[in-house]
Amino acid sequence: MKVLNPRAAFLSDYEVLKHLTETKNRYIAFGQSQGTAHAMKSSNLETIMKEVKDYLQTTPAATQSEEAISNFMQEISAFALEKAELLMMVNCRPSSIAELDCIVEEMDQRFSEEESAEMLRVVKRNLPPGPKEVLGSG
Amino acid sequence: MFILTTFTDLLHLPPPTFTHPTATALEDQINAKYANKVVHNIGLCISLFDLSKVSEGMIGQDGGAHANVEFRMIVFRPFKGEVLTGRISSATAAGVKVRTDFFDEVFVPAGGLFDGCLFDGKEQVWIWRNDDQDFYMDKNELIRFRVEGEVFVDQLPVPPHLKGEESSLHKKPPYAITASCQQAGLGLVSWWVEEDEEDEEGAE
Repeated sequence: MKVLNPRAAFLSDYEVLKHLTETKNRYIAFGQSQGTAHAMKSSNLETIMKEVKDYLQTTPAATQSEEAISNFMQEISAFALEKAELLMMVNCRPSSIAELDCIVEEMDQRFSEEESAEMLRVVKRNLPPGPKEVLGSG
Repeated sequence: MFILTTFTDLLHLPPPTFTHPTATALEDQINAKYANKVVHNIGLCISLFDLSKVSEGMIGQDGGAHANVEFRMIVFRPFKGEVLTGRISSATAAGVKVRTDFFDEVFVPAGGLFDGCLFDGKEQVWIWRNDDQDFYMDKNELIRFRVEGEVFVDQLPVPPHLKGEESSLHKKPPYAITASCQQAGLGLVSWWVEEDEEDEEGAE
């Protein structure tokens, strides 16, 4: 084993969830065409796929769509934000100024109060809120 | 939180896998070898993302094929400063342990908690005292934290004559994350839910 590129790209939670769901569906379709004995893959893969899927289904990634994210990226590009900050915004979908402040480094110095509020509005307008039970059980 | 890492590896396809398409057989081999495993200084491998290059197969001793494969894996490796959510799994005087469904080794040391946090030894819970109000960090609560550092421990085999003494070293997780909750917005998710947010959602 050799690592060629330790960090070839960043993935958003949505992309990971989509990949896992598609992979699982492909396995199920394959299993049905071959008889169920083939549907199960190695146990370590089944475990991690299920656990990551369970986790991501409680995050905002569960309700996002490709269209919503690309619209969001277009609108938010008006602000000078770092790539990592944008990624976290999509993954966490901040719903309050306090949350936004954690994601955007030194927000009070880089942006005025009005700009921060507008940023939050852009987030809320484009990205759907995460699954309900997260707020409820929290 | 997740990244793509490019690997190359020499993989062995035993003859029974020849009935499957090569790409499927390789995918299964890669996943069996990497999924849910920590690669030193890389992170926790989740699953294969895609295959980039596959060499011609070479026949091995058992009649199987060996192929050099270049592929990309989905890897859990949050960057420093990233904000994530998890659930509190336990609390000690040293700090709070946080887990996600698939990763258990997140630790928020006592020094990384809010100022004015104190540990209740009887209840085994951390309490944040803010403006004369107590906020409890109960077990299983959803918590938002910032990644501060990571520790990789190489899981080398221990020679038999050292096994007894060094067993504690062996228990260290291969990949652990240290985190902090010191900023407004971090800490329990329920602390920072704005009241009007719920109304807005209802109206939409």
